[in-house]
Amino acid sequence: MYPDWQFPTHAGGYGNPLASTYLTPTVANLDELCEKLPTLGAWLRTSRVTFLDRSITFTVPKGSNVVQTFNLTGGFDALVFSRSATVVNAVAPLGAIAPPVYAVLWNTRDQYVEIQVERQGGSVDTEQAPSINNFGLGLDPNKRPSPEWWSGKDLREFTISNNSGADVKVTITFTLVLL
Amino acid sequence: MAIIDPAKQAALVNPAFANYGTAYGFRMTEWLYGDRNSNPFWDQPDKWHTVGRVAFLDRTVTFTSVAAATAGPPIIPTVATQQVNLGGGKNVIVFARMATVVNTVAPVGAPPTYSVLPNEQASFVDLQIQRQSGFIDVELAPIQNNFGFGWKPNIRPVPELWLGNETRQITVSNNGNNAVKVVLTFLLALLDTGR
Repeated sequence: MYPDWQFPTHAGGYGNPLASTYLTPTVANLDELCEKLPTLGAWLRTSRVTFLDRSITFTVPKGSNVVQTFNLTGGFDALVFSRSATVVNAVAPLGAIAPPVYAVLWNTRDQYVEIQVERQGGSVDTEQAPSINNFGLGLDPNKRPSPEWWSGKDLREFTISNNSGADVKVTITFTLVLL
Repeated sequence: MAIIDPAKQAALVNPAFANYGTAYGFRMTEWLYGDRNSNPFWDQPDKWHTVGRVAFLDRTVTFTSVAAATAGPPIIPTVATQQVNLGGGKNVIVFARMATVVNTVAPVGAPPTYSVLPNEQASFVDLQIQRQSGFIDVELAPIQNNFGFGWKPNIRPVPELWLGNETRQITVSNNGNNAVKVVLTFLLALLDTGR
């Protein structure tokens, strides 16, 4: 499942320690690897791996669709670990008495709002389905089986379909890592 | 400090990080013990085992009262910010984060009726975390997206290494119709040398 390569011991390993949880490197041909990647040693001195919770927000009127295209990684290759989404009414609840009453989570509102994610190339990452099928919350994000590799060149088109009876605000968050 | 031979790295991994593998376990150990603000022997790995201990800490940031949004349209959220350095100048490692959002005025009644959790209140309060350098760690999003609770924390994919000399600005935006108290908790590790 994972590529095989070995990390030269003299440099402490080229594999970023952050990845050690996710793969165990083994080597096939170390010399060949070093010949092909002469700048491998420079990796240790370039920046650091950093995590980012990237968010996009949509306001979707009832009974309508909103389509927007994004490059979530700003042109950089990135790894996506998990995703969360909240769906709320565009207007916060009021109460006849103070304080307002908030809907308990989880509820069926998320089943009336569908999300599709399609890559620029036409490949659909996430087929249209209720947001609750494919996204979690901060307390339990939807973690991918293995971190996903997103190309920095790829745009993604998000289609939000609001089949509920109220205007909603949808915020989607991706936990990703980039250099 | 010079790069330590990988053959020696395994021996330097602090037992608190033994479950994270040799590579990252050593990186985490080095992050805390190799910090000159935390450890007088920061550049002498052979003495690290004599220095202090790794301590876990639930560090809290509180926004006592963030007023209700101005009713619209358009709705104008009320914004509050704080500058924090969770490590007090020391390098730290952040493992998880939790948050609660409650009304500033507790319910009354004999006995009072409390809302069931989880509920949508935290979905109407947005939060952003930005580093001093300008890099945004957590883009503006409902607290519900990025924080958990004590019984279900938002555990980071990999423990995050936060620099000791970097402050962070936390911005809270209240889109709801009542004033709220927001309490954020970060579960972190730091080097406790008694200093």
